[in-house]
Amino acid sequence: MLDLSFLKKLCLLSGISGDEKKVSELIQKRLRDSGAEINIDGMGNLLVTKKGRKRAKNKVLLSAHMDEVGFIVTDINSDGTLRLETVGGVDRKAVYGKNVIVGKNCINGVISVKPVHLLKPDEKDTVIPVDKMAVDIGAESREEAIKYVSLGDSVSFVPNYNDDNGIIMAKALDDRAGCYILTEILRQELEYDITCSFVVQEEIGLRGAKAAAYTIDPDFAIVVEATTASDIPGCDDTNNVCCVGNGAVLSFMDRSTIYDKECLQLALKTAQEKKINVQLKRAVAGGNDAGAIHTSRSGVRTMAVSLPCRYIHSQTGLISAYDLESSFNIVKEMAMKLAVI
Amino acid sequence: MKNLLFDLCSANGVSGEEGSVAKIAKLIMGTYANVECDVNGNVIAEFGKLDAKYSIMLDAHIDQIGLIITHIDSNGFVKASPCGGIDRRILQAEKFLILADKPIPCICCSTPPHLSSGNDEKAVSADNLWFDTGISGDKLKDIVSLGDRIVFDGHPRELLNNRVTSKALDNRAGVAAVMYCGDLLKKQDLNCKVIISLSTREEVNMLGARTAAFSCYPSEAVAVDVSFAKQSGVPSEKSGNIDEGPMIGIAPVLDKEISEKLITAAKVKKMKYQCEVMGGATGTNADVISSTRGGIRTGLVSIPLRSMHTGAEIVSLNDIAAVGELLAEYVLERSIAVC
Repeated sequence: MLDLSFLKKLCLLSGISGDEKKVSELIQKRLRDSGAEINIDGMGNLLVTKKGRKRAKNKVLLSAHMDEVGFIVTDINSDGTLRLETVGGVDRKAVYGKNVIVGKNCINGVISVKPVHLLKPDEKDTVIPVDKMAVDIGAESREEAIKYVSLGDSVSFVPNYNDDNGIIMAKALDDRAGCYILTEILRQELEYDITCSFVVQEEIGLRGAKAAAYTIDPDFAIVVEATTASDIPGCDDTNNVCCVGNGAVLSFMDRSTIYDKECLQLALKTAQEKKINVQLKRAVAGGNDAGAIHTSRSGVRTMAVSLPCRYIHSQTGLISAYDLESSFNIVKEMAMKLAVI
Repeated sequence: MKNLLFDLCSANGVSGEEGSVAKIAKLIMGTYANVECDVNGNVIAEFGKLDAKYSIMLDAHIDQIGLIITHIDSNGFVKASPCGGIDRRILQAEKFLILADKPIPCICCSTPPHLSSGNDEKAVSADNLWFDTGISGDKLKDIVSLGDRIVFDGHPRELLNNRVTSKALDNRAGVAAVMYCGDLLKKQDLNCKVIISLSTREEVNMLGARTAAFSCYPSEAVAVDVSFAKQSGVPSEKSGNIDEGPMIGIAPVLDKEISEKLITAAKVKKMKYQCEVMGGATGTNADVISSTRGGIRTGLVSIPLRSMHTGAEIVSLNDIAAVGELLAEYVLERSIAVC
């Protein structure tokens, strides 16, 4: 069983795209005595190399992103409420009425809601667009709000975390779960050398990974991510992408990448040998840093290992501890295999 | 005030299962009043001159909106119906708690954007409210029962200007106000009996207050609830201003004299107040209390609240304290007038 305490710490932090510093610092702290060498590049990516007992034949990169979806303050209304724009693909059905925190002073706020009692019948079914929403921080006026909040401040959902019954419900599991797996691998004694990148700005266009892959210039890459699971009522079985509890998800194709076939076959074979339950992603949907990494320089052979996550890009996602362990195991096994393939 | 309100809001009490909130209130009011619970769970606290002919009831409903479990499927998903007027636009991917023997966290199911085929413009429909605990069906059926309630998760939080946000401020804010009033009155020499009735099941047709008012049959009553505070999209004639003091109700169903005397009391205390005028019924317990038995003269005082019926309602602690003070002043004046 994995010790989840570091995952909890990661999920309780806020770090929307472009504002990942707290996450980066926590990971650096966790790696302090791991024997890994840490560099920070110009974008804020954390590039970490760790020597194994033996030299790797191939340079293998494991990558996870530190940022999460959220919002940015674009203006302050005369009544003291804040205007927002989304940062990354926030599930906009899941925004209205939520608790948020604003800026580096962590000001409490609420995405205010026109009372249901005062709605016309058709309004009761209508999802409000984010540009029509406002955050109430309790300020009386623009003049008062500006004392506590600046334009451009990051806004994130209020952190939350539970891990009862082998089920993890938390904010920002996409992709703190990936950061957790990489950090915990780096803390172990490894057979071969590996490089890990904890990257910024995935949610706004795979930006950090592009720079990281350029600098590291790997032969192989494994992107460790969270992916949409829609094994929920109302979605039929042919459309559920992947299922929570059935193990790590391996992809053949998504919207940003056609994955390396040989790597995928090797992963499926390895999973069978090591008795690790995995599942294939059953849709060409979503995308992740593999899109930037596999096209880096003259090309990088890339695979993705994803955690099935329900309610991704909302205030609270859901994954299973079983899938987390399965992902941890297949990522570690494949990192060692690809090092000497 | 803040601690009392946070304790009341942290407790969960969806309509028909208000026990944990009642327990907190009983413990506090039991230090100065005779407190009993009736068959519907209403908490009835009596103090002042207990054998006086004249009695004043202060009512605040103790329940909060939530949902009730109607079905558990084989995959462990839970279907529920609203308990009270829940806003369906805010439910998807919101975190909730199932109030089983041990609270179980769950998330309201939300179809991922890439699968919702244009339907993501729509709120989830009332007959399709599913909740996800992640626990398998077999295991879940052992720990969750049909009829268990579901509430918003989360804790009260402070905002700027002495304001707070929480679930259940409708109507724990009112409960806190009448309990504060009780605290102010407990050492006073009163000529009348004061009855604080924390009534249940308001969010489902005001069921608690009907029987509480019948059995107490007070000489007069004042209901204390929350009402709309001004915010974007809310018309000013239908709302009060947050931090501008108690909203004193004026409506055909309310007793004119009580409304006037409440205004006088506010003036005596030199406190800010605002009038809330309604053309018919008030949508509060005042509507049912006033028509109980042969009729009970009833007034209404409300606390302005934003984002009503969500998991993040907003009130000002100043307004709650002001309502408590206004009620205390009103009762003191009535106590002199009726002896």
